[in-house]
Amino acid sequence: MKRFNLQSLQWIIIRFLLLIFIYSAAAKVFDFSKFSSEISKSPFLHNISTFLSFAVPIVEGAIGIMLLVKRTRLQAIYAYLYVIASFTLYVFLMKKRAYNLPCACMGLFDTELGWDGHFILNIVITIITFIALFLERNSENLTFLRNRKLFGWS
Amino acid sequence: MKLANIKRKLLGSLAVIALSFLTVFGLWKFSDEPNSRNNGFKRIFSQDSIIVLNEISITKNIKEIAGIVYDSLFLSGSDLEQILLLHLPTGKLETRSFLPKNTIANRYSKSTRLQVDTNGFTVFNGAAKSIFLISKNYKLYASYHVKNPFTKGVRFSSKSVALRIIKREIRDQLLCHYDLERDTLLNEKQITELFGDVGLKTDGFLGCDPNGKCIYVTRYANHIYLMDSDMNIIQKNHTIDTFSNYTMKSRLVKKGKSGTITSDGPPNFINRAITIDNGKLYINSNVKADNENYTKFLERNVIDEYDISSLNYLKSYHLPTENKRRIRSFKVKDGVFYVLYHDALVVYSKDKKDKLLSKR
Repeated sequence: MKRFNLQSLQWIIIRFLLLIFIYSAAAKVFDFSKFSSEISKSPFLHNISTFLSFAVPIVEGAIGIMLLVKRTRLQAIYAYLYVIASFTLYVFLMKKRAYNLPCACMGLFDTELGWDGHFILNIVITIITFIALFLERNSENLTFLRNRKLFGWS
Repeated sequence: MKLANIKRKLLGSLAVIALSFLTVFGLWKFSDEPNSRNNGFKRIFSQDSIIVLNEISITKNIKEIAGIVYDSLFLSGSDLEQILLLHLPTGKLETRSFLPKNTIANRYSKSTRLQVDTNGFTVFNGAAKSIFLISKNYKLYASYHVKNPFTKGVRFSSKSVALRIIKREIRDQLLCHYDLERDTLLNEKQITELFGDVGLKTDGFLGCDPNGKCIYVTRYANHIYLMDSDMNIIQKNHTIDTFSNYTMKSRLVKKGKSGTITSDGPPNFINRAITIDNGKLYINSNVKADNENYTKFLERNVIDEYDISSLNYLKSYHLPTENKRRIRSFKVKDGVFYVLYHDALVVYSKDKKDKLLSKR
């Protein structure tokens, strides 16, 4: 029973992380001009905003795809942790410096949350990523991952 | 699981987090963070101690102090269906129904602005190219259709209004006088520079005093223009800071066949709000002086005081606030500052506590 719970938890977490990045990347691509315009307004990112406006959705999409593939999943979670930790610190600095800028996060939780809400959300996602990492590193013990038919992805 | 194994795994994760922190720290260190360096000027701070007389919580949709008339302060929101009235001697806040939702005056609510003064209630609706006059019992009694859309409007006498209109021909904005009696635009004047960006770079704050003098203060540079009622420039000057070049860049974002002109870079505000009272111009500056501490600068709002006839800088005030709140709108009357934040109206006095409101 315990094993099944861990398996289910890993399944849910990976899908959740995947959903966030794929949705976020898609939102940025579909409204690229708005995203690139908003990112250029950030005092931290202004100098590299052109590069980031391309790089962020590409990296998010690539990590999303890597999460789907068993062989690259561990690396994908590490990359996920890097991106989400960077974003959490960025939100913290934006909050701390009180710029009063609109959040250009372009994702599931757009605008309504504000910087405070996004900071808390990012911490939660960072913790979830940690859990995913822990589960993935011990996935050899979780038999469900070997069963490709059950989950439809390998 | 062995302890060494757990440590190894934990170290890997911590290394990734440390790397991400290094990345963001590097970006921050080499960024154009406003006010992180000295700006090359100093302020003279008033010796008057600033005291918080009252703080009243308000709803988030209140965006502006519409005006103060005798002992009543009016607050307006993103739509004018209701306004808030603060009775200054008692500190009592009331909600009043103002304009019904579907009236012409209340359409395009984002571009609607209310001004309340001794001339009455004036509603400016720039997108609808309209000005509406409302009686004291909240009835619409006159409306005017301007030929151009406008972004700023200030009524400075019973029959005169100053507007900043959008001129499609030049893709920019001009200041002009609108005569309510003749229902015509007069004296279109190019006060600010033209950049063909629909006036985005030269965006600012328009204010007039009852004597017919108008002031335009730019948001992204330190320019102040003093004009007469015909929009002739009487004097040009600068705010005390050193930002004479516009900190805003604009660009065209294309969407299909149309496009929107938007800012291309961080909105580095130089000035955040202005108000005029008793021959003095008050400007809420967003620029740190060299004799201010950066952390403390973030924790309070600075107001610079100028003489309206000479545009000379007089002194500055620090308004203490909590949670690094920034001023949305403010008014000054008889030495009392009425400051609107996103969640509260705070009343400060620069003199003594016995001025108006007592702390509830």
